[in-house]
Amino acid sequence: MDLWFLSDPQRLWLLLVLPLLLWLARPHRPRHRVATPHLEQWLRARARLGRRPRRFPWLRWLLAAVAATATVGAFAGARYGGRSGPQALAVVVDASASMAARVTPEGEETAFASAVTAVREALAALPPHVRVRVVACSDSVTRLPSDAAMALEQLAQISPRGAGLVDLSAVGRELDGLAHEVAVWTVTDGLGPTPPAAVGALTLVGSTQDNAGITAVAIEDAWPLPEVQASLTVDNFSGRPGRWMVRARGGVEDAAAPVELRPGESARVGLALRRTRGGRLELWLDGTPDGFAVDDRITVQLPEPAAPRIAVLADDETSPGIAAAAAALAAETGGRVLAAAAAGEADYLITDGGILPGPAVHPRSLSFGTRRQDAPLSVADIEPAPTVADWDREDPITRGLDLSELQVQTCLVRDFGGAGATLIRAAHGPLAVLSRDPTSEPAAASVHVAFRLSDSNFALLPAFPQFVRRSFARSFGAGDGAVPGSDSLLSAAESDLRPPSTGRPAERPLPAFGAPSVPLAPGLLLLALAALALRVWV
Amino acid sequence: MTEPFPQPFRELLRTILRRAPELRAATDPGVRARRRASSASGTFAGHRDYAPGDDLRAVDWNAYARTGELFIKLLEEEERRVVTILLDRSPSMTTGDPERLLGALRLAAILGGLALVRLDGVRVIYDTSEVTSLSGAAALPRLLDALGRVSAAPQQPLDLLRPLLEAGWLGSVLWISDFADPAAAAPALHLLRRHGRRCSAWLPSLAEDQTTALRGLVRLVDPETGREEVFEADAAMRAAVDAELQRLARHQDSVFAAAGYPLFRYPLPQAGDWRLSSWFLSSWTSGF
Repeated sequence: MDLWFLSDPQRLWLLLVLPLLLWLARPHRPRHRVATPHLEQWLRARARLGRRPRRFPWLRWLLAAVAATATVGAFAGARYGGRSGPQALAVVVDASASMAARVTPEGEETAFASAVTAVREALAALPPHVRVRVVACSDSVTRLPSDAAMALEQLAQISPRGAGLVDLSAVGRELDGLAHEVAVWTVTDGLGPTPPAAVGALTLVGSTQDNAGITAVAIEDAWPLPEVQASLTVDNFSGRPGRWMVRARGGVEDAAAPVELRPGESARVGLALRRTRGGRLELWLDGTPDGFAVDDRITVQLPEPAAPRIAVLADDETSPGIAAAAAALAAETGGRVLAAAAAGEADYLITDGGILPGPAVHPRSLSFGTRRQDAPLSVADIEPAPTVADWDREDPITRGLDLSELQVQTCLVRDFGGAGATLIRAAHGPLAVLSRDPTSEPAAASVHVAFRLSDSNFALLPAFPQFVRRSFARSFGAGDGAVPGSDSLLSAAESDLRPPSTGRPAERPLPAFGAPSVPLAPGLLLLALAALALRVWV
Repeated sequence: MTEPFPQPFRELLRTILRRAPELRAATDPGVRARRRASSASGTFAGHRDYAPGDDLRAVDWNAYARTGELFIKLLEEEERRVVTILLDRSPSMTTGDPERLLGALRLAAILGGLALVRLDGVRVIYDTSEVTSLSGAAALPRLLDALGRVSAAPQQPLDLLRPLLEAGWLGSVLWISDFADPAAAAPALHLLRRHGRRCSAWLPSLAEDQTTALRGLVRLVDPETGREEVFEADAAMRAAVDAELQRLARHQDSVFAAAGYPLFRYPLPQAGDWRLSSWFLSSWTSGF
């Protein structure tokens, strides 16, 4: 406890006025001295007159000095009492995902709940004059209201999440450096990628536990086709081996795959899923040890099946494979095959031969030897017995297909679908092109083949069904794709609830907070006025 | 210090000495007879009643045995008539304008010169170790040289008397001082009285001994003690100081009256005043 102190002691230089007052107060003394043998007579004469010797007016000077000193003291911010120490508290609460771990495997209370309780109890015990500011740190810093009650209320509503990208140590150092009267208090589980602040108070909540979790996931959605490929990375953050099941459900046919991991091991688990209705796909890890439920479950929002309306314009007798392919597509994607008369309402049009005027061309279509103009064919328009020279090995439609056995009796040289990227090429020119419609939204594409199925053995080749499916998928584009849920993956560091290699830091208590002091300036100014008034009277 | 004996003074001194025969005491047989009768040694001249303070060695014990009363033996002077001048050169003598010590030296020169002319000799004592004995009118220059070497120094009246009493010199004592502290002179006067010495005191007086001319705020210093004081010399203060100066003068007079010795105040002339009337007092012709 400081009895009294000065908030601006540098202003004490004004006390240099005291020597000036001393010099001004000294009585005038004649410079010239007169020697006399009658000094005794002068002294007696003065005594007889009742006069006092001319002495330095110590009392008057003392009163002036008191007034000056009191004024300077008031100007220098003299204060009484109080206690030096922080006057404000900055609470840094770790809100990263690891704070959602249960304190005990059997209990329900999380580390974050313990942190909120600790903060509430500490704030309740603080001296009323201490200002409080609470920040929650995860991937970003969330500043809570300056009002402690509101801050506690909002803190309790925070859900720990994120990878804890905010460096608690840096935040602590920054807050600690704001002003000397600010005390920093970090409340964390001591886990995660960044160490807690090395300055200020530190309270550790939660506990170290064995855990296993999904640390990475990759979803490959073949929409509008039903195939969904999920690839998950599972990590064993424990000191003992374990066996878990990776399960999937929701929007797809239920699936599961086992995974066995040694201590600290990581493995990728693939799940081949088949979309049934799309929507919320849930992937979770089932098994023990597992001290942290948040990293066991992720959700993915799958787009619903395309459910296309497919129309076929072909001669059933000459093109039996087309109808079968359309029926298979409709069954696979949840769609249906329309009658030829309703081809105008179709989402996807498959044609074989015939003439389809340009304006009637559907933006999403697959055509085999279908002409665009109703004009007589000349010899130059037809290529007899074209030979397949090559096909695009990189395009998703033809990649991996074997078209070397494709034999074509005759094909159209031009006027079979317009310009586009060549998918299959013969010696005279393209046999199949991919035509994109940039005007349609969402993106649309059509595949046009230069020959009719009846003029080739394409429908008999194993590559034909894949060609049709891929053309169909390419016509609809990638769609919205799979969207991970908001409770997406944690970082591996957040899932690792084992003690850090350096050990958990030791807790540091809150410092003793300073107490406000009483300003002495008013009293000192009154004292100065009283001294001046008394000096007039003396 | 200013030359104590400039040429105008020397001429003035010679004029005074030429007028020495005019002095009243020179031809007064009664005075000469009293001196003879009060000598400390010589032929028996008679008795007188004992008075407190008389030298007990002069008491005629035989007469006391016969009569039961105390009588003092009166002896005719046998020693040469030599005057001893006690010169006070204490720091308080350095005050005044003109300086009181300067006037005291010139007064000593006048009195000493008169003694050389009219009597058998003169001794000048201004220090316990500085005694100058001179005789004859021709010794006047040596007297002036001896006085010219005097400078101010602290001294006590009793110390000044010691060479005189220890040597047992007879003759008159002329004590020149400011007697600023009459009480300090009283023991010395009592001692002289007990030793049967004749003594007369000479006080070279200044105008400031009677009234102060200082005005306004003055800073006074006592040369004896070095003490300084500042006074507001307004009218009331000046009046009070003048009253105190008169009180001092009365005190001086009372001290010497109690000792039975005369005190002469010798008003020092202003600087540059070499008139005979200023230095040769008319009263001397009847009272020296």
